[in-house]
Amino acid sequence: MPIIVNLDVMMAKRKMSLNELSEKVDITLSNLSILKTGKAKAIRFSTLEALCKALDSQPSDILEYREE
Amino acid sequence: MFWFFRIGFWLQLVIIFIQLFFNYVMYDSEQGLYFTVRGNIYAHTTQPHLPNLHPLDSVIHKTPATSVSRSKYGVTTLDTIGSKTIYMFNGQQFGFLRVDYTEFTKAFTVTNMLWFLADISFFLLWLIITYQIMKILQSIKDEAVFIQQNIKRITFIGWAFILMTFVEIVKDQVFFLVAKQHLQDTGLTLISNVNWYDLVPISLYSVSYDTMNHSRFQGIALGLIILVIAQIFKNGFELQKEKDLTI
Repeated sequence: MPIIVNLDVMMAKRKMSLNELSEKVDITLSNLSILKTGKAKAIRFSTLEALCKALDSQPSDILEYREE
Repeated sequence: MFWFFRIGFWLQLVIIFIQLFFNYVMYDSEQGLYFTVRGNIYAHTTQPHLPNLHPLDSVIHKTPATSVSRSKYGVTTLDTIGSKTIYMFNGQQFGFLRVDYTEFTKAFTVTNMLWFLADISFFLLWLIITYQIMKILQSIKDEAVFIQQNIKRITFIGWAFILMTFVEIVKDQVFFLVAKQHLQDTGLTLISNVNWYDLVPISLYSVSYDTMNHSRFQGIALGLIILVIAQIFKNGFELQKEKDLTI
């Protein structure tokens, strides 16, 4: 997938654990790990919004386009 | 719904054994338990007894039958003592063919064995279908309906219905051959214009599972509709996968 999810990088920058993030964003741990490993097929705007809010970042910090 | 099918499943299991026992096993003080097949065929030809009425109508008025069904070539009656009669009329001659379920044929013929196998496969298929429906209802309860297993289950049910219909059709054909032989033995030529599907109402040995309807193609139609539903489930499965991976 040319779209890379940089969730782990942002989490490391903000020093936030997976459990903490899942509590803040209110999505399950398994869904969060699907997102982190790049298995997800789509992301809802509401989820992206909540992630940006929780990590205090822009969508471009979390998602990245890389040419294959 | 779920409990309905769960109770139905166990009930069916018990009924299968009772049915098989009473239909195929006989007890004799001399011989002990032995394998047998229920049902004996007779064929006769007579003159219509009430000339004013159409002979088939006179049959309907005179027979103390529990159920009567008409087809193009005859009237089938199922009477209380456990015999079934098909009455036929070709314009000049009036004949009837009787199947008596209270009598037993001990013969180990190919036909009898075929009937036995058909009955057993029917019972088993119905049992498996009930089990599959039970499983599908369980999956609805667990809130995971569009899963791979359910597609397999529904596809199985569809093919099972089609297969059962074909077994029924073969059974009808075999019965027609047997009935034709019996009628030829008694010199009744009436049957020559009758097609096998006109005789279908009197399936030979199975009392419980035959319908009075002479069209078997509803079964195939039902199976095909269920297969279409399986395809819809396949589509639903893809959508469910997409939905599950949308975070």
